[in-house]
Amino acid sequence: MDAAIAVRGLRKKYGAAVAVDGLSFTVRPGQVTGFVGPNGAGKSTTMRVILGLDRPDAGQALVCGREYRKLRAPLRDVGALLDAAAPHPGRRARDHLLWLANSNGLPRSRAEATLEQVGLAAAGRRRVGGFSLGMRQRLGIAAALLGDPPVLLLDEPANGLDPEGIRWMRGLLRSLAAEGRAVFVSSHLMGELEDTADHLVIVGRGRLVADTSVRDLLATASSGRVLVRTLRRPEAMSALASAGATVAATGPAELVTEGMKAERVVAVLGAAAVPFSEVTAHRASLEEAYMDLTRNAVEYAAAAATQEAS
Amino acid sequence: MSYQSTIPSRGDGPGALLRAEWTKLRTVRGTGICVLLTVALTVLLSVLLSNIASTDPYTGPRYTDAFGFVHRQMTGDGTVTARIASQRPSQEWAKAGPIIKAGTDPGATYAALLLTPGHGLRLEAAFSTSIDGGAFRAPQWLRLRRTGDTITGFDSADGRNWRRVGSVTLKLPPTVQVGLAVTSPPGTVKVGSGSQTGTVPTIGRATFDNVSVRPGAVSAGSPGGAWRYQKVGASATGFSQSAGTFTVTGSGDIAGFGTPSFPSAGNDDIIANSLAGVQAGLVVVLALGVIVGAGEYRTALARTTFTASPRRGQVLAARTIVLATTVFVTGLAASASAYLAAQPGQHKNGFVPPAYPHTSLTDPLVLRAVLGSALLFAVAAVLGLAIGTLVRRPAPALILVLAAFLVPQVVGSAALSVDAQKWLDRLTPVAGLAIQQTRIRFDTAISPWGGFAVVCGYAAVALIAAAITVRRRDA
Repeated sequence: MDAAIAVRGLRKKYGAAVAVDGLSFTVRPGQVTGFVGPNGAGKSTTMRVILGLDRPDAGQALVCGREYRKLRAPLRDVGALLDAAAPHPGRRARDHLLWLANSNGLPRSRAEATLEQVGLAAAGRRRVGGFSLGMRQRLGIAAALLGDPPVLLLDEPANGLDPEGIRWMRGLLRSLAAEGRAVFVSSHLMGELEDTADHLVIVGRGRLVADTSVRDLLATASSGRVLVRTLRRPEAMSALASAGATVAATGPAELVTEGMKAERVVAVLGAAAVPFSEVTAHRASLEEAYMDLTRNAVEYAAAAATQEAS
Repeated sequence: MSYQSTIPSRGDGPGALLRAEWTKLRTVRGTGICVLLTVALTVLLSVLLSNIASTDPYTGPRYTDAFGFVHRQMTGDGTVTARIASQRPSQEWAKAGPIIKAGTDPGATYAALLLTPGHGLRLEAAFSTSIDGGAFRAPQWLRLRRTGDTITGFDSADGRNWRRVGSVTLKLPPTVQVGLAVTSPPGTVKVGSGSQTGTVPTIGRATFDNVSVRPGAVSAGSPGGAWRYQKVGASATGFSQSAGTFTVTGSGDIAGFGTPSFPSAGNDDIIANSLAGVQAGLVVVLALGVIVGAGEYRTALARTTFTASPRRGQVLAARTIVLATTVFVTGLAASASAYLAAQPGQHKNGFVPPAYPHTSLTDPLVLRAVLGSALLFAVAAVLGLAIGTLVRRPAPALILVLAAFLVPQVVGSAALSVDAQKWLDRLTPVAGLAIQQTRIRFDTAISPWGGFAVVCGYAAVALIAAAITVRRRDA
């Protein structure tokens, strides 16, 4: 098995708060793996443990088959973007990359090369303090690419990027994966990963919610749902319900049925003489599928927050 | 399919870490500002203080000569022997012992073997020579032998086995006065609650027995044969003799430039004073150390560092070496400049020969003070770095290290007795400033290298604690 990152039974507490609770998953090379969950689900903690920054209370995380802390010159094995605010504001962008290159014995020319790669070539001599959040994200990605590593961990890389920047980021992640690298990207917004991720690791409350390919997830979320547009929604709903379907109104002239094929829906509506303008298989968005999966986790978090506040 | 990095690496060994930490240190403006500020403040404060502190140019005699003198005459070569039975510890530099003196007038040249309560046995001569004879206390047998112009001192625990202490050469007339000298210099006291000091006279007293002068016991009736008591200089004294036991008192000192107890003008440590600005520079250097240690945690840059270099102990070691070297070079520039810049002001304000001989950067004592100050800067920066690494937040860490350096000085000079201040100067990081001492004074708390060792101890303990926690704690 050629897992670039393997997390097994990971548990991490901060005081009494459990941040990660028995998490296991693997990240494979050659594809973009999205790491998704609501804020506070334990994504950043998991990434810090993978990078050897925080010690787990139980379980382990291996990168390229080894513990991160045992790696020599790790920038050639793993590139990471954790916090865009990390570079010292008084330091020039190029110098930030230069000390990183020095620490791993990489050629100085890598600083210029990666600045070029992320579109910051012109800003290399400027101090990081004057950078926008988007520019800092690009600098952080340049730092991750410094050692040309086969594994990349990026924590919320799209934060602060403008639409053009997000498009650039998607293209970059896709091409890095296409070169055979393992790309592990976290986000709390599923939409950001649409058309980017091949695989998803979904977490909530520090636990694994789903470890699935994007294609499978969408198929599951869409299965058996049919969208109906009709101006006579109440009649349509009662006819379909009495025929055995689960029906939900999604608009004044729109409803979605579950547990009934599209052909049967057309037949039932025809028999009841309800006119309709459209009957289609419902295609769920990644966002919807994700919301379904994480609804429980979010509700729990909201309840907990209310308790803490009271 | 799996990807392999195409970038060559020379590894992440100690050299790579040193290069990385040096790149980090030199590429933030704060470092340059701190370096300039360290030099500027050190020199500025030294120059200011050199212009404020003044003394009257010392034109008086280059010696003081006041003591109780029990004496008789001796012609030609001979010895004077006495067992000193007890000595009152009236002052650390109180003196008692046999003496051979050209005459009874103040200033007449002499050689004496003197016991002191605080500084052991000393063979002193001509207001300029002081030979350390070892850490002895009363009772002790003491003997001086005249052979021409050479006076040799001996001591013995039992009066039979004699040890040679040393010898001195003097210009002496054929007939001299020999006998016993007892004296005690004024004591230093604090005046009020301030840092002002004053002096009070002290009276020394010692008892002797087995007193003899050879050749020959001269009868009391023969000329120059009787023991006479005399106050040399003007001081309250007394003498009594019963059954071979002599009790002698005296007050003052037999000393001059070159003898460590000389109490007159010339006791200021002008080399240390010329480096007083180092204390201002230290504040900047402590701040630099704290920022280097704690700053990365403020911006989470520590995570980037420890992701690139997971062996954190080595990162801390490299950072310590880079910072200490940088600060040492800076500190050397600061302390050497401060010493040179303070000279004109000191000379103008009365610190001139003979009380204050001119010095230069290449004098061993000046070199020790200047190089030692640079080392102290480096150690202080390391202490700041270690505390910053431990505390992780710059502001509390800075308050902690500044308190460690400043509170003992403020408290010590403002409120405490000389003794309490000395203990503070021995036990707190302030002890490191002792490396600037070039004279033993009333307020000397600890030896130069001893004091430096104390501050190094603090830095070492903090650094070890930082090395342990940096590896254990989450970044």
